[in-house]
This record gives sequence, structure tokens and C-alpha cells, in this order.
Amino acid sequence: MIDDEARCESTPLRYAHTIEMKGNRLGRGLCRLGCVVSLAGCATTGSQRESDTAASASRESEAAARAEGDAQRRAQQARSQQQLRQWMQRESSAALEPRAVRVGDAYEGAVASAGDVTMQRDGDTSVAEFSIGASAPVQCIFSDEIKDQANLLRAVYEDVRRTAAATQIAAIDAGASESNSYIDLHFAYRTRTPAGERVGYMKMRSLTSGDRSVLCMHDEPGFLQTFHRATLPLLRTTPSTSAQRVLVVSLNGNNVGTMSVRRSRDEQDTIEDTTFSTLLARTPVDLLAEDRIDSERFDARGELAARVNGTDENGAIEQKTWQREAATLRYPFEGTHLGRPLRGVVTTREPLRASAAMVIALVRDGVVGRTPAVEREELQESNPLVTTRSRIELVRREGPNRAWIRFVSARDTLDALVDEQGLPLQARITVGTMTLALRAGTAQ
Amino acid sequence: MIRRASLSLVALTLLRCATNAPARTHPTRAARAPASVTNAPSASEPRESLRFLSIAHVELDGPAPRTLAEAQFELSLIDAPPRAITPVRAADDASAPTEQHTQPSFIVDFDQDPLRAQCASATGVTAQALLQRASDMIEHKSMAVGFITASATLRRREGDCTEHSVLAAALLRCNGIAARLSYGLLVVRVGDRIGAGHHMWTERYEGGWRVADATFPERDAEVVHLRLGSLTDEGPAGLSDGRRDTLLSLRAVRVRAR
Repeated sequence: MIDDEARCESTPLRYAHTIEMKGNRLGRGLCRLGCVVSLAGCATTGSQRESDTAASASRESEAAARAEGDAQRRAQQARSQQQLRQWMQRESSAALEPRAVRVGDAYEGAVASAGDVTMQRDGDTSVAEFSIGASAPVQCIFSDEIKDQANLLRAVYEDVRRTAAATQIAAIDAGASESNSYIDLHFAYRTRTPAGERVGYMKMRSLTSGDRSVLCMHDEPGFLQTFHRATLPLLRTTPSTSAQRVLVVSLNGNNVGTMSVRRSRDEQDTIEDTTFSTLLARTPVDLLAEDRIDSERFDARGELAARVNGTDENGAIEQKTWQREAATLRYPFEGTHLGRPLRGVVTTREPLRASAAMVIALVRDGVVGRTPAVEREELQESNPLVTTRSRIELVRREGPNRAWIRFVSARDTLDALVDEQGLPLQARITVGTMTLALRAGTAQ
Repeated sequence: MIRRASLSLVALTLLRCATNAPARTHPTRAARAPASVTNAPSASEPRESLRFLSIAHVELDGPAPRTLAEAQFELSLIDAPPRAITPVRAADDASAPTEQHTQPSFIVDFDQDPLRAQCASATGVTAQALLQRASDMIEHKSMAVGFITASATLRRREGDCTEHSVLAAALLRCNGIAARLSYGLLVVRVGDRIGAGHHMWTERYEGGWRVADATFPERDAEVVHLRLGSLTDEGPAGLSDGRRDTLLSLRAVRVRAR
């Protein structure tokens, strides 16, 4: 139950705000999720009303009145900030019990709830709503497929930002289980009401669960750990088959996103799909969301047959495709680059080999110290019509089933620990002052 | 695969540079966007707020210089000796423009729609007016845009310093003014505070290469541009230039009064 002393000063404002969540499945065009989100804004009043100015036309008295108004406003803001800080410490003392969440016959997962879970169906989405012992419920929106994890969060944030008086990004985090992952975005916002301004705090979690995307939201200051515990079962109870390896991405020690790898077979070829979702706060109010998928198709010899790269950067989608002409060293390219169409042909000196194939071969057959590093030409997104040279080395083995691999180019070096299938377990790259690390998630 | 994805994330943090946020763009944002050098709103806050994305650490060596024009600058680098650097002045680089500086390229693509039509109508105006026009065309000052071409910038009408630079270069060149794209650091002084950040800008040729920065066509704050290099390849490689690595290795900018 909510501590009475910390109860909101007034009845929480609740207004239905239809938000279009634009989940772009790369390469498949724009998909839309529709939902109704209640923005409570129930926290302290952070009034920005202008103080009454004196009727006198005197410049001095106007300045004095303005100064007094400024002082009053600052004092009020300080009280609001203190009160918000108190409310942010709140957690629910209600017992959260596992409750099943079902979407038709295709999905069954679980949340931790203080009461029953209600489900509503709307087109290709389902919305679950449940209590965590706070004033506002948690809403979780289930899509029927995997959406762009980072841009889903950004789309909701931008929709709120359009109508709120002000927003401020508070936190970004990420985590993973064996086959699912989540990215968190928290932000504070101010809304204007007839009674003055209200300050609110929104917690959002974009998850994968059972090969579909789930977006959970709780719009009330505080309850950070409660929200985390309530939604964590979605990560664990319903594994996804769309990923064989899921890692958490961090930049200079801060969790900023997730990465997943999946391999599949198609006749004699192997296809490796790598997805990468990151969310960065570029300023206290500006988000940069990138969802990327990179797909390589290679044959039994490890030779690249095709490569497709798709990125969704804050809603701007670019796709790049290289497709080898059979039995040649020509790789025609078509796609969008730097915002404009680009076409051309990449001609190489040797057949291009897929990274995955080379890593698998090194792990399987390589001998540390005796196997020379594998040199190769590779395609590059930064300059799609030109290849670059790089090297892959077997650095050392860790037991029978793991090995450290080093990817070296003219400008950078990445070290990765891979398993016997060549799938990454962890990785690290440092470029100047930035260190990017990938590691297995142990979400709890 | 992880290497490519990793490098793309590193690239996302590169050269996401300065932008201004004039009040007319978005009242709410402008009201909440203080200059990076002063986080507390004040009565003397410039009308145009400067926001940096990739902030460089500034170290003041001794008393603050009276003006940035009188200051000395030094780059403190990781794994390299310190390097003195001077603000851009036309007299320092009088190298003649090349054909690249007057023709369209993949990045400065004023031969592509919709920019081609804009170029046709933007003739006979001054360089300063062209910079203002470029700034006005970019209605949404946003740091969330990656590096895109001039024609893409005009379609999207949003961007930061990189978009202002390529669009300004396009308008200058189609008016017969030689222009190039330079990158480095912008040092800003607001009141008694000095800040710096990664930046890209246009330079035009007039007896030497002069700053023509569309990101700040009118500015209230005192700024200087510290050039690390100019793009020689305006093809699809874009900003994939090894000289940018200096920015990645930058530890601090030291500022000293003469």
C-alpha cells in the first residue's frame, strides 16, 4: 500500500492519450501498435504560472515584482523537487504473485502482480493491465511479432514529448536472459493542467518474450524496483527461438542496449542474423535509438552469397543489399546510404568469406601460435562500394569449447570470447575514449 | 558481425556535434535548452542556445583569457604528445580551391532533387544570406540525425552541425563560391564560462579559407573554430576519415591567455 504521507497531493490526473507506437520491422515497412496510455502526472505541482505584476508602470517596481516572482518560483520548484525525490523512493509493500498472461493460443507468459491481470485485444496487439500496489496500474502491450526494441521506446517518448510541457530522460538500462532481452527508459515530464503544472515519471521496458515484443509502462513516480520485479517474469518464463545468443551492450560501463545472434539453415546455406538495439541519451531530452539487423548468407565453403543490412535510426530506415553474382567475384550493391539511394558493383580479388564461417573454422581447426591469422576482404557499411581488409586471429583457448578471437583492422581491434559454434559469449572494443563491451545477461 | 555492429555504435557517438536552438524552432525546447556551458538559466542567456553532443573537456591554464581570439589552445591527447592548435584564420590557409570545392559530390549533392531546384532559385545572394538560408531550411535542430547528404537534409529538414555544413556547402557552391567541409572543435565562451565540443562546419574561399558556419549564422556567444582537418573525400565514405581519430583520442582542450 502507498505510504499515506507520500500520497499525491491531489487526485491523479488521468486522461486517455492515444499513442501510436511505430514499430518498424526492418525491411517490412512501417507497422503500428495502437494503445491508450494514462498519463497520471499526479506528483507535485511545479507551477510555472507568472506571478502577478504590479499595475504600476514603474520599471523598478516591475523588476522587483519579477524578481520576487522568480524567487517564489524557485522556492516552489525546490519544494517540488524535494517532494518528487521523496516520491521516487517509494516501493510497493503489496505481495507480487506470479500471474499468467495469455495471448490467444500462441503465447503464455507471466508477470508478478498484486491482483488479477486483465487482457484486451486491439488489432494485432494485446494489452495486459495489472496492479503492483501503486495508484497507477502497469500496462504491457504484446505485439504478434518482434518489433524494433529501441525505436519502440523512442516512439512513445516522442509522442509524450509532443504534448508534455517538458520532459527529461532519467535512466536507460538493459538486461538479458538466455534468449530474451530488455531495454529500459525512464523519464520525468511536466504537464500543464487548469490547476497548474504536474510532474510525472514514466518507466518503460521494451522486452522480447516468446518471439514477440512486449512494451510495459508504469506512469507514476517511484516503484522502480517494484516495476522491475513485476515485469521480469516476462523475460524468463517464455523463451524465444529467434535468438541463440543474447548479450547486453554497454558503452563506457553504461548498459545501452542488446544484441542477439541466430543461425539457421536454408538448403545448403547457413544464414546468420545479428540484431543490435541501442538507446542513447544524446542530451537530457534527446534520444538516439538505433535498431540494426545484419544478415549474412554463406555456403558450405564459407563463401558469402549475400549480405543484407538494415538500420532504423530514430525512424529513418536504410537498407543495404549485396548479392553475389553466381561463380563471379562481383557483388552488386543496392540500397540507401547517407540518406540517398546508391547503386554499384563491388568487385573483389577473392571470394568474400562470411565472418561467422571464418570464426567457426578457426575455433574448430585453429592451433594457437601455429595457425596463421586469417586475412580477408570484407564489405563495409560505411563505404558500401569499397571493401576493406581485416584479420581474424585465434588468440587462446579457454577449455575445450571456448576460444578468444581477435578481429583486427587498420583502425581498431575487437576481442571476443566465442563458443564451439563461433557464437559470441562476450566481446570488447576500445576506440579512443570509448569502450564498448558485450556480455551475457543474468537479469534478476 | 559483432565487430561491425560494435563499430556502428562507436560511430554513433562521433561528430554528433553542436547545434543551436533558436526560440522560433520549438518554444518548449528552447526554453529548456540552456547552453552546455551554463546549465542554470539566467537573464543573460543567449537567445540562441548552444548545445553540444560530444563535449570536450576544457582545462584552463592560468587566468581566463580576455577573449578567445587572444587565447592559446593545446590539445591533450591519449597516447600522443600535446598538440598546439590555432583558431581558423583565412591567412593561415590560402591553398587554392580545387575542382572538388566547386562541384557537386555524393555528400554535397546539389545536383540531386530537391536541392537542385533550391539551387536554381538561390542565385545572386551574399554568402551570409546563403548561410542563413541553410539554417532556415533546417527547421528542426536535432542531434539525433546521423550524417546524411545535403539533398537528404533538405528532404528531412532536420539535423545538427553536419547537416548544416553540407547544406551550406551545397548552396555556396551552386552560387559559384568555393566551399569545403572542415571538422574539429568549437570553443565557446558564454559569460565567464568556456566550453568546447566536437563540431563540423563549412569554409568558403575568399583570399583564403574562412569559416562559414551555418549552425550559428547569428551568434550571441563568442566562438572560435579549431580545425583538425577538411574532408578530401566527399564520396560515400562520408566521415570515414582516419584523421577524425584525433577527436576520439582527445582527452582535453587546454586554454591559456597569451
